[in-house]
Amino acid sequence: VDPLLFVIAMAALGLGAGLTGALFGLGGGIFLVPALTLLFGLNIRFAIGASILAVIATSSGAAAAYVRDRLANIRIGMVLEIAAVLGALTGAMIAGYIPTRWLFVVFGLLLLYSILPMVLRRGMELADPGPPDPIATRLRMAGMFTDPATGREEKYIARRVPASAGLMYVAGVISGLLGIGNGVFNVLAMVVTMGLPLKVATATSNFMIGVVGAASAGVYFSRGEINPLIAAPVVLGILAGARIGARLLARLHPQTLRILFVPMLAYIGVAMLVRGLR
Amino acid sequence: MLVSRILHVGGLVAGIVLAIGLIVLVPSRGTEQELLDQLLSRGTVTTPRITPGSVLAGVVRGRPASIIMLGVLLLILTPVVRVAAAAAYFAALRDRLFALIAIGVLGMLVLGFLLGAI
Repeated sequence: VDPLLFVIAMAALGLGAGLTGALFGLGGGIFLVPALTLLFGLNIRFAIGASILAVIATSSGAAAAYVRDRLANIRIGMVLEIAAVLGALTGAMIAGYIPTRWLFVVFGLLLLYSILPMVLRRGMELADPGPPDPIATRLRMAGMFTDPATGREEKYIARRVPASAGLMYVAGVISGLLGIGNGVFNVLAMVVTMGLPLKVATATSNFMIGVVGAASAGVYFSRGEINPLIAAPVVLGILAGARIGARLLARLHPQTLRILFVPMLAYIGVAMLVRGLR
Repeated sequence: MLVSRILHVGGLVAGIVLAIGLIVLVPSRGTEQELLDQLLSRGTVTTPRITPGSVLAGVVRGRPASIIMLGVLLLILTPVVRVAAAAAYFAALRDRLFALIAIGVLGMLVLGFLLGAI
């Protein structure tokens, strides 16, 4: 394989993953590992190492904007980060010891599982959040949020903090194990379990993803599982792709895209499973 | 806001270093064959442990792969510095509990580098 050709192919692949991710409102990590392993036959450990870097890169760009807009709640993010970072370290350590075929299986199962909330979206009505958690009151895990669409101010306070922290630990394990940002899971947990407004949850999740990614990236880095030959082109490609995708998104109809999303995830999920079980 | 600026500048600098490393890597054929073999290997591979020190030593010797790894290191450090800035922010507000929480998160991030070296 010619190295120049290889590097160009990797950059193109990163571009594609970033573009697709942005169009579906994701970071793109979920497409990167399947593409690197299934299309190019690369060792999944290095695919995961490159992917976790791409997650940090895309989250740094997005988080910078969100924090500026003061949508992200740093206090809530910081408390949840304790659990999520602990999870990421756990996941990254496990990844070093389990056989690679298991990584394919877990990745496939996660993709298939992530389809569920999209299919069952209507059942996701917000339950009564209940009284504020005493921990949230004590730690002042609360804030004010101005809806840019209506201009109305809305106060919020975190609910069910221990349960949310538990979910964040699980989210961190998955992120560290598979090298994905896991933003959809984070946002879901913060909206449904913590009762945060969707925009605050999205911004806070984005803010956290980079830190959680850095925790597992440190493990992958030291273990020598970050390969410069794919790391550089993939990260640069995904940054460019995410930027172009965000611009395209303003002109496209998200509804038409969503029809493609579920079958695409299902297909990739099954392909990863087959690869792992074969 | 400082935190926002760190994220922006850190990401930008890391991206530039990655790009420089890539530009010098491509013409230096041959040296990366080992890296390519690593990528195409199947199953379990043993990889040499990497430390920030070994990366810097490689950069000094002008090794293209090390320049890329320096960019990688800067990218990973961007959120780490952000947490440090948050710790300083809470300390300045005399919010001891949250300063401690931020320092705890910071400690775990450093732990990640140590855990991978085991």
